[in-house]
Amino acid sequence: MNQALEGVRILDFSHLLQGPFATQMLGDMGADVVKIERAGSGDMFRGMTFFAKWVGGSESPNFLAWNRNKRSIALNLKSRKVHAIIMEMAKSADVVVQNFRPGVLAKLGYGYDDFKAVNPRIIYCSGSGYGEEGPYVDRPGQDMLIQGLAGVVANTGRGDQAPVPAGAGLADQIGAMNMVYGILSALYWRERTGKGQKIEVNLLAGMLAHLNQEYVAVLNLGEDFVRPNSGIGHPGMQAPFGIYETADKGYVSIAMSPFKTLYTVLEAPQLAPYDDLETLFSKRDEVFDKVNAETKRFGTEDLLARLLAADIWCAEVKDIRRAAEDPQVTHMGMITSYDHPRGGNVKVVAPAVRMSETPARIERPAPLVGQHGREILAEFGFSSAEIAALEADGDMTVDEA
Amino acid sequence: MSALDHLTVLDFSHLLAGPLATQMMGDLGADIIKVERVGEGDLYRRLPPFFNTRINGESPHFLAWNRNKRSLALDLKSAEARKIILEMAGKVDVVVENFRPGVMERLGLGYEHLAAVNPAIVYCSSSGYGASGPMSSRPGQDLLLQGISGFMSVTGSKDGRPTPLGISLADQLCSYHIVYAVLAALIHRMKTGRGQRIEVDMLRACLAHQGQELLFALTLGKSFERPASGIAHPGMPAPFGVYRTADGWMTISMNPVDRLAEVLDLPELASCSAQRLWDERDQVHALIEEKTATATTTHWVESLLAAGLWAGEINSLQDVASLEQAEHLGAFASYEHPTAGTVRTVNIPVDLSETPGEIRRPAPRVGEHSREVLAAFGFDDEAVGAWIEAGVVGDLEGHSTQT
Repeated sequence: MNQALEGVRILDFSHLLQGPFATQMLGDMGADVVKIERAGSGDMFRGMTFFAKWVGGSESPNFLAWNRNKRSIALNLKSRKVHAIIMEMAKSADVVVQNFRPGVLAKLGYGYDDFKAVNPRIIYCSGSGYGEEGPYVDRPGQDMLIQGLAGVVANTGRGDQAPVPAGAGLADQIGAMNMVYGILSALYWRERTGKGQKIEVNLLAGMLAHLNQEYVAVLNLGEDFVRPNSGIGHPGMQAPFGIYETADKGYVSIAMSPFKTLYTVLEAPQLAPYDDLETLFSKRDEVFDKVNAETKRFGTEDLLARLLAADIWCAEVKDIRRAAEDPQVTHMGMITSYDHPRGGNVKVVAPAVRMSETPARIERPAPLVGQHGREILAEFGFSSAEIAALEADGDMTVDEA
Repeated sequence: MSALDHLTVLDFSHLLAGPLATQMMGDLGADIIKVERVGEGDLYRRLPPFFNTRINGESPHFLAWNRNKRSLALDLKSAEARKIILEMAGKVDVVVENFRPGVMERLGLGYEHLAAVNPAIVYCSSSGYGASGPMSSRPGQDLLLQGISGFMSVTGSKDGRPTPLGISLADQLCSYHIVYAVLAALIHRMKTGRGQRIEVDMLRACLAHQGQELLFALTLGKSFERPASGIAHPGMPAPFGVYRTADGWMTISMNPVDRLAEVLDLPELASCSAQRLWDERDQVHALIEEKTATATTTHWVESLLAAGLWAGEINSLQDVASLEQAEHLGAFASYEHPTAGTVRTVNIPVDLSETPGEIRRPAPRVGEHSREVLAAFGFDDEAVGAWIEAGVVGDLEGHSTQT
C-alpha cells in the first residue's frame, strides 16, 4: 500500500530525542530516513536508560523508542573523504535534519549553505534549545531545564510543594513536533514552487507556544498563576476541576462539570451554597476538600459509573502499565512489538494517526550503529572498493547483527 | 509568501485540540474557515476562563487558539446549512472536526458525504478515544486524558497525589498529530490527486509521546514509581531534579557527579557510584539540596553553567515574559482585537527562511466573516440575507444579541 511520504529521502544527523522523534514520525509515514551516526559509538542516546537497566542486556529503551524505521550509517564527520561522500548523497536527498548545538555542524562543513550549494531544493531543519543566537545560545538545551525556564514547571503541582516537571521529555517532544510541522509545510511548498529552505525550531519557543492560553491570560490580565493548595488540576481553574480520591485508594479525575449535577450524584446537597463561579474559584481548595470527602465514600468503578451516567466529565487515573492494558488502548491496537537483533521482542507504541489511504507502518526496528552503511552507500552509487577503503580507514564503522 | 497559501480548510473544530491544529496551519498561510454555531459559537468562548476573568468580555482560552481564522456561523442542524457546506466542500482542501464520534455523520457531513462531492478532500476527525471501542463515547477532556494515558502517574512525587501538568497537554499533542497527518496527506495528494480520511485521537497521541516510558515498562515488565523527593522523573537517578535555593527553586539535569560535587563543594557527592545515584536517589537529592538552599538561584545557575554543567532557573510565566532570550527570539507578539483591545500572545515557534509564518488576523468574533466567506464561495447577497434572517447563518449582529 502507498505511504504518504514515500520517495522522501532524509539525511538525519540528529541525536538524543528531539530530532530522532521527528524523523521517526516521517519514517512512519514512509520517508527513507538515513541516520548518520558517529563512527563507533553512535547516537549518545544509546548510552542512556531508566533504572540502569537495558533491553536484552545491552540496548537503550530510550534509543529504541525513537529510532524505528531508520537505517544507520556510522561515519567520521571530521574526515574530508566523508564530507565529499555526504555532499554526493545530498544531491539526491530532500531533507536534512540536525540538532547539534548551534554552529557545530556548520563548522564541519554541513551547514545549510553547504547543502544548498549542491542541492538548492534541499530543506534543512535545525533544532536547538534556545535558537541559534542570543544570550542563551551556549546554555545546555536539555529538556527539564527548558520546562523550568518556560514556566510549565512553576505552573504544575501544589502551592505548598516544589515546582513539578512533567514525567516525560515534553520540551523535546514538542520540539520534534515542530520539526515535523515545519518540514512537511516546506515539502508541500516545494512541491508547488520547486524551492527549498532553512527551518529553525527551538525547544524554548516550542514550549512557550504550548502555554499560549496561559500566557494570553497572564500577559493580558496582568495576574500570575498561583498554584492551588489542593488537588485542583490547574492553577487557573476553579473547583471541581481536579484529581479526587476514592474508597479503594484510587483516583478519579473530574474536569469542568456542572457543579449541581456533581453534588447531586455525590448525594451531597450541603455543597449547594458553593455553586457559583466566583466561589468555586475563590474557595477552590475548600471546595476541593469537601468534594474529596464525598468521593472517598465510593469505590472507583462505582463512582465512575455514576458520574459518567450523569454526563460528568470524569475518568480513571492510570499508571503507565495499566494504561497500556486499557481496553480502549487494546481496541486501537496501540501497543505493538518488533523484533530487534539484540533487544529481542521489543514492545512499542504504534503510530498515533490512522490514515485511510496511506497508513503509517513500522517496517524496521531501531538500527545498530552503522548497520546499513554498506547498503546505503551502494544505493548512492559508491563502489565496493570505495566502501571497503572507508571502513579500512576507520571513517565508517559497521555493526552487524 | 507562505508555505500553505492556496490551502483552504473548513474547520468544524472547537475547544482546543482542533483549533490549535488549524491555527498552526493558518499561521503558515492556510485560509481557515471556522464554522461555528450561530449565536454562541465555539464552546470554548463560554467555558469559565482562568481566574474566572475575561479580557473585555473575550475568553483568553479562545483568543489563544483562534488567530488567523475567519468565522462562519451556521446552524448545522438545518437542511440549508448542510447544502451550503456540501457546496463549499467542492472548493476546499481539508476538513477538520472534533465532535464526539458519529455527530458529523448524523448531520450528513461525514467523510463519505463530503468525499462524494470532492474525492480529493482530506478529512480529519479528532476525538478523545477514537471512533469506536469501549470508551469512544466518554468525554474527551484534557485532564481526563492525562490521567487515563498514564501521564499523571509519572509526574510529581510519591507521597503526593497524581499530578496533572499545568498545561493542556493531551489536547495539544493531539493538535500536532492532526497537523502531521493532514500535511502528510496533502503531500501525498499533490503526487496522486487522491484525498483520504484521517483519524486522530488524544489517547493515542498521549501514548505516542510516552514511547520511551511505555517501551520500557512493557518490554522489561517494570512499573515506574514516583520518587519521594524532587527527582524529576520516576525512571531517573540523582541528581536529575528540582532543588530549593535560598530564594526559590532551580533545575539540575544529568551531570557527572564528580564535577557537580566540585562546584557545590560537596566531597561526599563525588564518590557516589552510578548504582547509589539510582538506589539512594532521594537521599542524594536531600544531600544536594541542603547545599543549594544556602545560596541564591542566580549564584548556582551561573556557577554550574560556567563549569559546563546543566542547570537552569524555574520561571513563573511573568518571569518568562521578560526573559531576554524570549525577547531575542521574538517569542511574544501582540495583535489588535476589536473588543479585547491589544492582545499579547505567544508567537509562532518555527522559523522558515522562505515562507515565514505570520499573524494576519486576531481571533474572530462569532460569524464575523459569514457574509465575506459565503460571497467568496459564490453565494449571492440575497440568499445570504435570507439565511441570516432565518437564523441558518449568523453574523455579528446575531452574536451581539447573544452575549
